[in-house]
Amino acid sequence: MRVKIDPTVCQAHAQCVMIAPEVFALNDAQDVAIVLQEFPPESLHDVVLEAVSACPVQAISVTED
Amino acid sequence: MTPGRVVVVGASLAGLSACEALRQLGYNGALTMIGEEPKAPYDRPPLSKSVLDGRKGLSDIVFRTRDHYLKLGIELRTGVRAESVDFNLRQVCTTEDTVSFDGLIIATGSLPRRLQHPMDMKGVFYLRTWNDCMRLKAAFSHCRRLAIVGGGFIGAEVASSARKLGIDVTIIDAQRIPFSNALGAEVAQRCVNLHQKHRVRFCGGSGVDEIIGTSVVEGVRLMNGSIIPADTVVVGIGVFPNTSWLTGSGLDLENGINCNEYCLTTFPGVFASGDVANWPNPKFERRMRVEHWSNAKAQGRLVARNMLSEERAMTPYDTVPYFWSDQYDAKLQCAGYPIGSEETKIVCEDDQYGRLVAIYRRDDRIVAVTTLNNPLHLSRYMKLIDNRASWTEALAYAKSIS
Repeated sequence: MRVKIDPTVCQAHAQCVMIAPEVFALNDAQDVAIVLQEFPPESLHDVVLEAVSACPVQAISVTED
Repeated sequence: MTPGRVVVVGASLAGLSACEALRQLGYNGALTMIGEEPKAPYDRPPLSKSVLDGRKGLSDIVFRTRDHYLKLGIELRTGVRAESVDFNLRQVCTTEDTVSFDGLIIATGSLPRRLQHPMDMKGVFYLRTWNDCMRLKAAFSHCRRLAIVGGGFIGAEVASSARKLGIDVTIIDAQRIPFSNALGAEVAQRCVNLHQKHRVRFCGGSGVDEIIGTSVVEGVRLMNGSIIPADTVVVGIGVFPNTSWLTGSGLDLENGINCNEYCLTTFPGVFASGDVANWPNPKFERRMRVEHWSNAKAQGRLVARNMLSEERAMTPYDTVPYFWSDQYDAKLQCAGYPIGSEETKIVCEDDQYGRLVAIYRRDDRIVAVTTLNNPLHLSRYMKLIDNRASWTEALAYAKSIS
């Protein structure tokens, strides 16, 4: 699994940071989320998918990679 | 249970989320989504913000193309209103025909509360749908003085969009400090300050007597006798669940559709989701009905999963509500359930960045957090609320990060 955030879409709702703090964080200015683990281990795939679903602006994409 | 035919009434986020989840979970029976609006499902939050101020159009906010529904085998029937349901025959009657179901998801959302005024008075607007938004946007092109009735989030966002366009704005609210019902007086005052900084006038503490004008609106008369002149009035005094079409169906309709912790109604295979669902949230040990975007999305997924499960294997809808509001350059976020809390504590304040964090206590637990421009803290406290942390733990956490 490969995780990406589109920084032009992200509005820092931080729902991904709440759901999967191992994979997502906020930048210092707190205006956009960043990916900490682009290739998260399988044990985190479910929470990543939950974060994708919870994002109010659909800024997170997941690809098979 | 694997129903042979699922019907979803309501074609907005909760309905769409349920349909997509049903397919993701492997349901391959017939699936019909019925929606009253002519447009395919679209995202509503931008209507009071980026669509109203002209930054976004319909193609930016439509959730999916028509092709997507075809590909997923979802029969999307827009412009069709459900008018009643018969749970004995298991049929929904619509403006066009009668549709049978084995499983039913009711996701008809909410409707704006209305003020008494002649229906055809020009210049009075409500904001819920794409068409509402287009009418208001057209009015903004020649609006000079806007009065907003109701100091809630829709009103505040409309005010913010109108100020960007240089329109003179007054917000009228029956509460002395608008927003205080939802967020508590401390946080509400910060919101008021933010609007005042952008030269929005507030008229708090007096309800509306009537909208004045004959065929065209001329202003708003308050209970205290004063008159706020306006060429355009936006009414944002809250919404109510869109359940009148279910009257007499046998469903318990007190404050939405009464369902259990699995969002299952009293009829087998019939679920409610989104703004209409009133369910006992185990996380807060209380019934709630939540009108937020995130709830529509998550609850839609949950009812899909529960519809495909035996009742003993269903998942309770155990959730921390979340909503946001963008006003000017500020981001307000709230997680949890601040209504009915017993104490509000500001745990972080930073004027330089306009940051603010307030937490809310009920009994010995943290039940909500509101932040201004502080999504990091929002996520941290939201996690504490999700973990059912005590108030003492929340205060210790606040101390540890200050």
